Amino acid sequence: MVGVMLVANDYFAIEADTFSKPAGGSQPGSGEPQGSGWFRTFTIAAYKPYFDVDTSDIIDRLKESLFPFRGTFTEKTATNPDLYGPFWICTTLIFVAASIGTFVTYIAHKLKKKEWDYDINLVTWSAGVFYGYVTVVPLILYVILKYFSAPSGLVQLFCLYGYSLFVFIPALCLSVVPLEIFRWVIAGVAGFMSATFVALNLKAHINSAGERWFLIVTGIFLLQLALAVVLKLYLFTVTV
Amino acid sequence: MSISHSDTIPLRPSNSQSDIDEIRSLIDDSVHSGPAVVLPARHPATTPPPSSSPFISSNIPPPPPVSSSSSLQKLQSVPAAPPPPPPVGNSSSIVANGFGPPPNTLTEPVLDTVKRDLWRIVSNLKLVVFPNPFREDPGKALRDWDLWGPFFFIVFLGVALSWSASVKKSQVFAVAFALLAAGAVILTLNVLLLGGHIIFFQSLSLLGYCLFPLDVGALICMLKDNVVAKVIIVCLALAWSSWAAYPFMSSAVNPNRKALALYPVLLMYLSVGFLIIAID
Repeated sequence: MVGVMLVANDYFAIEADTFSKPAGGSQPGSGEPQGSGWFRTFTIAAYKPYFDVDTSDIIDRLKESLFPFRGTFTEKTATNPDLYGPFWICTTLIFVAASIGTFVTYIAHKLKKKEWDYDINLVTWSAGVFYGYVTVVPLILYVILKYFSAPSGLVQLFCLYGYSLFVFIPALCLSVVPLEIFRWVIAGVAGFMSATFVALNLKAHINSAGERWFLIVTGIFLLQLALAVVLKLYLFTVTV
Repeated sequence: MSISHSDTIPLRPSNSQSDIDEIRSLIDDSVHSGPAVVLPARHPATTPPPSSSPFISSNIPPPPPVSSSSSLQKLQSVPAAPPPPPPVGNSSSIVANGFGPPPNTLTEPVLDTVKRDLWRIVSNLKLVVFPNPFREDPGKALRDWDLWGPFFFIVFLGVALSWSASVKKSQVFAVAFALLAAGAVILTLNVLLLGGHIIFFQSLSLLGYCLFPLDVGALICMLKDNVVAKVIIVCLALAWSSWAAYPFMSSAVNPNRKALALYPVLLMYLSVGFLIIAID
């Protein structure tokens, strides 16, 4: 609710501007409604540049994420990384994961004529996994890259990881088919595509600076694969 | 007559009642005593010198001699207002008079307040959920927004879902309430970040009112337990909710970003609809 108060604060700050004309300009914040240094992180205006995208831009970036072998994503988003894509892709993923997972267990229980109850923990668990993954892993990567003196902007990393999760949406939708082998194949392909996307785009960036790039790139590749496997195991392992 | 009358009016101590109240009570007195007390208009230059009897026109009786010059200025600005209709003795009537403090909603009966709020909720609901493209005043719902309606609808949806759940009832209510409340806030922030122009609480209010069709759907699903029927009802309710929310959301942003603002609304209503179907 901090966001609420500070949005309202922004609104009222503009109101206060019109009412309190400074006598001799003695009031410090009356000209710019931005406030002092650290407080800026809580205003909306500080994040607006990361949402400066049109519908066509977003669709372009989504299509780009489906072709992992091109490796051109980072160039395209270097000047205008957006946070809209990552946030809403994660949210959509949570919804799709929860609904598909619920549907799969429902069908499995009904086929065996067993009792079924809606498991609300699916929603909370998948929210934790997806939001946590997209927030924590880029942060750690940012720190590691800085240590190895190949700095990348934090927002670019968020953007990269967010769009890399997009391929899981069709994969989850396809996993409704009740064949175990088919589900493993889908999970494998999606994980591989997503991991290659992240790895190739990062490699293009850090290849220029530094020794250990191979280690880092393989590390994140494996991490993304691990995510795919965890998803498959948790959401689609049905014990009836 | 009235001048001598005013001469015998005892001076009230000025600190116990404001000057405006004085004038108001005098108007009350004069009206109750009869409308025959009328002062002919007088030009200030021809009135006898005392600064304490200012110029007042038409059928308003002169105020008592005032002590401060600021109230003198107030009184001189007072004649510019048209004479008010005689105030009725009932304090609960809403009379728009140019004099005195605004109608006192603190002293009206509670039933009046509740009726007024309920009436506002109903009228906002009609404007938001049954949009009529030919209505005279399209912006009315936006101006008269309130938060009681949305609060009631969100709680009702949570209670309906919690009622139909067979296990973990309180957890279901918590998730539904948090999803709807946080969802409304996030949707509004999304529009603001995309460069749209809406007022924060107005948008919360509208999104809350657009939940009404889903409320109806949840109520029907609570009573009827067939899965196929539930799916159909929820789909209809979903379509209605989205159709109601579409004009407000799409007009708030740049046309290039319309889909970016609308997609999250659709997602939120879809997830609520899914919760309604899944809880049994």
